[in-house]
Amino acid sequence: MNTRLLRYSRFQVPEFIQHRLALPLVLIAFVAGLPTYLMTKNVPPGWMQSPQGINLAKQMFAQSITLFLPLGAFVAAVGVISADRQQGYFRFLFSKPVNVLAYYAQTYALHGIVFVLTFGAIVWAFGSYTIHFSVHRSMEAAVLTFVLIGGIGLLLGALTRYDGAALIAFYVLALMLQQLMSAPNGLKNGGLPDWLAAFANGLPPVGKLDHLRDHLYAGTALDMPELWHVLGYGGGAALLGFFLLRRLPLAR
Amino acid sequence: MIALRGVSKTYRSLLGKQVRAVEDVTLDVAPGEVLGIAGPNGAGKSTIISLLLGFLRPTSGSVEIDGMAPRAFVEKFGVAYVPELMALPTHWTAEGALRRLAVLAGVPADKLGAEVDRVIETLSIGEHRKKRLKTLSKGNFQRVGLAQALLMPTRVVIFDEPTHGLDPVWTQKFREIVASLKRPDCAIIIASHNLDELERLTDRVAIMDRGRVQRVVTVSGASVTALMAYRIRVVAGADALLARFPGGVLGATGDLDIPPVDVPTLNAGLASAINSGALISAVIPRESALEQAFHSAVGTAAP
Repeated sequence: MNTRLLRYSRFQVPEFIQHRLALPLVLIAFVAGLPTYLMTKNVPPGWMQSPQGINLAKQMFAQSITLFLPLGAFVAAVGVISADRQQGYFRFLFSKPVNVLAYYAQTYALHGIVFVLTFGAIVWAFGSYTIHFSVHRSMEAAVLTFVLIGGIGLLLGALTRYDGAALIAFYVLALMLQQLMSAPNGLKNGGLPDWLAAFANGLPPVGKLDHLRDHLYAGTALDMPELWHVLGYGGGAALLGFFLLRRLPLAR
Repeated sequence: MIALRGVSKTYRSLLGKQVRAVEDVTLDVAPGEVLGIAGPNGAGKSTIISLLLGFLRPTSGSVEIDGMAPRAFVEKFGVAYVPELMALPTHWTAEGALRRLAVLAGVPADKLGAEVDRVIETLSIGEHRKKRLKTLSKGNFQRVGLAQALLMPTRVVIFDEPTHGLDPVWTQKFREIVASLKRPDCAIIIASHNLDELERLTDRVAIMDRGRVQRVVTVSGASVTALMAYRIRVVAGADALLARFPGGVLGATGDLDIPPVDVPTLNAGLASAINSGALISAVIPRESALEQAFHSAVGTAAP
């Protein structure tokens, strides 16, 4: 990583926050922040620490705060490489003495760090109004989410201009099939034919990611094979993305 | 310094359809030289430039800059480049864009402000520096593009249709900028449709058509012995001129188009006609040597 690129990060971070992260933040503020503020303003002192209060806080956390994870990771991961290529920005950026791989490695790393820190701040803010939630464990959940979604986003961005649509399609398809496979109906692979089950197993392990996040929020031990599957899948996708970035022409 | 050897580039669609954009191009550009690339739309000019910047790889043949693969050269030293289409995020301000690109170009932090001010001054875009790029006119956006290319001295300069969108004043100013960039260690390549511009700025022009270099013309001013057609603006005595230039055609506006002649014949004919009472207000080459070569190479008739 050269000093030019490190100096350039002072432009990349504000750009990411203003032009990408702002939208999910506004969304979370409306669906979670505003209701939380109004609710905590109207309940009697100490009510949030009661069993009903704790239950409500946990429900809100699971249903609204955690929305930020896939949403934020998605906006951090897509349209980075593909937009530069499609809009032609790469012609200016990469006529300068800049290594393409280092540039995008830094961009993704910065997006990931800001995304994780932002989620930590959201959890801290939510916890300070309601009950304690582990910021540390929430940030670990954000790291896992970004490694998986960011890695796949990088790979798709290196491959196609339709990386956003492709990522959503992969994510939804994987979630759907993996939920069907794990349905407790007593059938092998949840009733899916073997070929479809094999296909579902090759898709991003979003079911395992959800499972790992649940463990992190609950403070219980992680399933290590699941952890390695998620990290390996996201990391492998990112490495493949970097390989393709080097192999495929920038002007396509 | 820059060497293309038997370079071909074929684009393939997903369905297998092939389009050969560049075919068997061999070209050299020496340090200190300004090479023009001329050609009609689709001739392969922009593909050559993308190959030189390492944005594309040749299907066959080799491209080298200083003995290095183009991408390796660009990533190590950078290239001053103005693309044909100005593409920068339009929410950036003109100054913001220049600051960002200056950082990437390697302008030291303590000189960044001064260098950005210098190129803003050179391109006279001071009044637009705080404006977002989306609010700039095409010409001003183009000037921002030119400004970013001047942020750091480089050994390779590539302009792709650089005066596209510039008004005549800035087209002239661009010529001065190119002249200021000329250095013994710097190779400059200018791709343009504008033959007059190339004739003024370059040492040689590669004329491309249908992906091939059809001809490389050395631009060294009009040759005394070269045959050129002229248009003579006649105020009086057209008959005297017609007698000296058989085959001349007198137009309705009083201009006389004479067939190709060399410079001594032109001067002798004019002197004789003037001695016989002809009054002439202008003598204009109908086609420069470059235009003649271009039209001959790409097979289009002169206007």
